[in-house]
Amino acid sequence: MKGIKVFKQPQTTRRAALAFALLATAGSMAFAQTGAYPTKPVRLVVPFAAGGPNDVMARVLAQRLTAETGQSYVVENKAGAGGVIGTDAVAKAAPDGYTLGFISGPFTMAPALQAKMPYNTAKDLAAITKVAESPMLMMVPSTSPFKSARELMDFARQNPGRLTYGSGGVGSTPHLTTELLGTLTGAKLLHVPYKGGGDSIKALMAGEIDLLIDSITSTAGPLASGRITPMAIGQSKRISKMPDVLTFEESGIQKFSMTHWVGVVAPAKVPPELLKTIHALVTKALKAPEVVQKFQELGATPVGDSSAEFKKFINDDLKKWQQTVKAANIETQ
Amino acid sequence: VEALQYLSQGLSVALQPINLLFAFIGCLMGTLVGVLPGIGPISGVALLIPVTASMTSGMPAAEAATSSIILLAGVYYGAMYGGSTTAILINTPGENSSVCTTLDGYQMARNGRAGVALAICAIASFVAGLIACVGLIFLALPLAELALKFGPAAQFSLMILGLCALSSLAAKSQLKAFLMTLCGLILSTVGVDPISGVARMTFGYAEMYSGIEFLTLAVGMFALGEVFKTIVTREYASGKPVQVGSLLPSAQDLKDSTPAILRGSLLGFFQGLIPGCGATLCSFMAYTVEKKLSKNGKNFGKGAIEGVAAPEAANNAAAGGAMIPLLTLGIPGTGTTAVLMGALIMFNITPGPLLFQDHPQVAWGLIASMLVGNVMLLVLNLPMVKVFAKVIETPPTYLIPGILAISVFGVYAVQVSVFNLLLMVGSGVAAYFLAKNDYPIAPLVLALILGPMIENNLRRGMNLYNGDWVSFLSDPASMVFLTIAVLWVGVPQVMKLRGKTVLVEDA
Repeated sequence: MKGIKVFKQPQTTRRAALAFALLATAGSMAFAQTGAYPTKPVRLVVPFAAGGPNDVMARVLAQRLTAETGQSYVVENKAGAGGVIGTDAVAKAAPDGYTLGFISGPFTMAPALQAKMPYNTAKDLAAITKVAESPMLMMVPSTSPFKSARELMDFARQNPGRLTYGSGGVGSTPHLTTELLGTLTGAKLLHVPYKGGGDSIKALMAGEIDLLIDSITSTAGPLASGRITPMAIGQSKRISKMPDVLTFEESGIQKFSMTHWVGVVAPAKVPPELLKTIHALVTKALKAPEVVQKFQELGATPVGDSSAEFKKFINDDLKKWQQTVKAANIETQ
Repeated sequence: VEALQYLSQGLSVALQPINLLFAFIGCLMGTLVGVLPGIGPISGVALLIPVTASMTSGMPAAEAATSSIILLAGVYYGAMYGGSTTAILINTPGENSSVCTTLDGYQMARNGRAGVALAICAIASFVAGLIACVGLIFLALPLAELALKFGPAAQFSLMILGLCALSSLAAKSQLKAFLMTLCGLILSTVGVDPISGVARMTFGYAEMYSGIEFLTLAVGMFALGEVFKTIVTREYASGKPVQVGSLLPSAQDLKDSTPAILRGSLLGFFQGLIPGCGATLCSFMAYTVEKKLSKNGKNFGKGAIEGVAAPEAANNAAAGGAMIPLLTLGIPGTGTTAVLMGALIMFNITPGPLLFQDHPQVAWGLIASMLVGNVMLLVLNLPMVKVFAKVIETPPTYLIPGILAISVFGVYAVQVSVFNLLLMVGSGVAAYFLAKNDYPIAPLVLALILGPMIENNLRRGMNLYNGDWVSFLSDPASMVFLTIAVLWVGVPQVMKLRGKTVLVEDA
């Protein structure tokens, strides 16, 4: 992993330096001259395909920021390689505050899975704030013989590799979350990656796979079809929308609290003053009633923590997934 | 009857002046999006979401949602149509799904029948849109059941059938078509392997992680290949540009294309149901089926009107079919419907089984807007045919730089990478030499799409069935597709052995 990184690094710095030389001057000068930000459209890079719940949250936020600042915030979907391609574009963008990244779980998972990261997650990107959290939900097809998460995991432990679980792809939040659950409970589940979260939910509805753990934000429509039974929720308290669904702890599975999260990052070299301005703008937008309401509709809670808190969270998460990938023996690329 | 009642309510919503205006804007923007290669319906719809949000900001929530969806759906259909315009006029597929339209559409244009080709596109799209709407209205629920039955085994077998169908695109030699298919399959393995996550054949370039971008290759091979050919053979020096003949299809044209449109619509609609199938595959399957079934099959590739009508009908009907899983199960069947779903969620409306119950205005407004959008496209585009067809009369000395500019701009605007520009030019050069030596390009380009679908479904299925390949044969849907595949390849061979003439002939 390290060896290849050394090989990639010169190109990274050279390109970043070039981009910096070309654009940063103009950008930061504009900032220094007027002190106003933003004075032109801002790109909000979403490193996954348009249409999913993360993308929707990015768009809701962008809409609010546009309304507040009078400058348009343009959501740009740059999908591919488990979010690495889009995030790389942010890491290498001019550090003028006009390119921001809207990231989620795979941001901290990718370094554990991919040996050849084109950027350094901890060093090349500055944490702004965590935008929202939503609990992960364990679901089974309504035809499933299992009555509780405990029962299912007991079966999985006694019959290694018999049960299959789905995910939206290698390195997605459902993939690593379920692996973590397997490691915690000593069960071996078989991973079946699909192309995107929608396909994996369809597979669950059709009974192709035995279980799926995904963010509650992507489940509203499918749950209403009655073909899916929610089984356990990955947070410490039950949620009001589904009062009958147990938490993992209540199901007898300890220490498995899993939330799905989204956040905003900027290129690391953005001046600290500007980072503060961006933080203030984003956290203010997250308090707007329409944003809160739309997020809640999806099943997510707006967060808007301090940059330091978000940074610590990212660093802890990076460590957690390194350990999970190691423990679950997932092949790194 | 109840459905009709709801539909008329939906129509009354969609026919309000403001919504007609929105449908018009949507179709117009969509057509523009479609004309530019690279910017497909997905990015077109995504780009316009914030625009619709600000346009509808003063309206009550439900009406704002309806109007926005009407506009966005218009973009969707408009883009499907716009993509074929450039495919016909300058051999540049504006969208993935219009690759098949280049095959006969461009030939028609060269024969001076650009106007007819464009008009039949509009008509085929319109009829297909109507058929898809009817299917959506009356069959949505039972078909949703069907959509769920297509597991990895069935999808794999369908792709195998697609691969067999590629053989009928063979130009002069089956062997050469086979080699090109193989090349396409090999190219399709470039990038991060979606099942294990290992990077393959990327040579350390981050640009190659997401694989070879289909449209970059298609634009390079079709558009630039043709440009290079024109330059090298100095066709432009001969002076006379192609003349535009009649603009509207004759009665004979309509008669010829009617069965093609109907078959294409049905095929597209049902294939659209299958998640992950995509409009590209639908249009191409419709093309090959039509080539087999049409009386005019031997003229395919030389400017047969059926070869334009069938794929155009199919990709439009597929757009309707893809709405079924979205509206009934809350699962988007295609990339574009995923974006539409996102747009609905932004208006606090969750697509899914409760949509018709909770927000009938939106649900039926959307379906009605499909009807309105298709009429709008027809109204918008038939008069435009005359204008567009003039493009073909442009002297090549001006047309060629124009094609180059559109291709480069389109690909760069979306990919923003020099690597993709080089890939496009490189594949253009390759296409020139391949075409010169009678190697057909279409099988390569389509194999590039089929490759990952075959591989992923095979490996997904192997995981699910614990490595037991017999499951691929025991799945009923899978069995049907495999049987058709065997017949597809086998029957012509048997007939050839018996000395009968067949449509797929070796030269």
